[in-house]
Amino acid sequence: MNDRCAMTQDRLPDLVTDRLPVGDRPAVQDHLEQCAECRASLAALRLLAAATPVAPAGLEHRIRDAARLALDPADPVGEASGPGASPAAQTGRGRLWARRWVAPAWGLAAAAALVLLLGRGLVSTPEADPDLLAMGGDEIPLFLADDGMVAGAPVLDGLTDEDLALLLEEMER
Amino acid sequence: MDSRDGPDTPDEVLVDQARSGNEAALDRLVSRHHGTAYRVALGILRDPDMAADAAQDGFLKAIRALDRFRGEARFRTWLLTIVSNEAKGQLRKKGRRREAVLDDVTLVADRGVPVDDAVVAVEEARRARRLLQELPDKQRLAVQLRLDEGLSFREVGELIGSSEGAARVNYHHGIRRLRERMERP
Repeated sequence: MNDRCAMTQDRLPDLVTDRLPVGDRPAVQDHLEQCAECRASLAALRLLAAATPVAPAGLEHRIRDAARLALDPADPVGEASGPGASPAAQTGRGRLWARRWVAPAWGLAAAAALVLLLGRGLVSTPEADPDLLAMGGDEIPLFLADDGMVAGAPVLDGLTDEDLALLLEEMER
Repeated sequence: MDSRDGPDTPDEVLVDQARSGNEAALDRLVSRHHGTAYRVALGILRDPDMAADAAQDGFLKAIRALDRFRGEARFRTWLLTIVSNEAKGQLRKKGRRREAVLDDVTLVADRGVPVDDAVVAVEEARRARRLLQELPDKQRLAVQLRLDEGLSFREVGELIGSSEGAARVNYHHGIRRLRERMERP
């Protein structure tokens, strides 16, 4: 195949599907008249074009309905995604928005777990606790230290008697 | 009427309108590209039902990500990349794709759409498609994307993970090998 053939064959799909600009057609047609190999490629492409797969009936509406729901921020997890919703809605916005709402919830849960882990680490780190090191596994069990301290809990040890009394008084209110 | 609202409205204008909640613009994007999305997914999955699901899921991912579409690539290429990734993801989940192809796929020829006077017979056309399916993935996809969707070699390269030059080579090899197979009895 020479350069002329390569250039012609590059354009054959556009010729077959009528996408080739009118101004480019004479050059392609001229070459085709002289080149049996390019004509054979044209014939093969024409056969392929005749059997182009088409989307199944209903796919456009299915995607359109789901896309509209995905675009509309209203009703994040409401009736559109409920049991009575259309299949498109159930696979569309309802699911999409459900994911959006679920994701932050998982984020909060993860943050809470992290706080607990950090809190446990503050009062009992594996390095400082030979019992934990002796357990050997990669996973450190989550539990409270003996004194019940958790991250975020008030530390009462440093309070004076007066401050402690004040605090207890406020808690009783 | 603003000419930008006509049937030839560029995708990028429709994308802007869809971002603002314009459902009509969204509908037109779907109408324009659902067939292409389906065929791209079908080319990867070779299963019409899976391809329809991948086309829909890919489309929805694109719609959700419209705010992140910056226009560096054409919308169609961007959409098809997402659909293609979706199809590849489904392929990984489902394992090997089906070997049987085309038997339950609707073709242009089945709908009686006249493509060209030189078309000899529906069966011959179906045979050509069947033989195309036997080619290596990149060659097959290069031919399909160039012919069925009118993609440039650069766009084909983006979708099959090759350079523009490699996409062109794959296309030429694909055509040559297809012809060789078609010439066999």
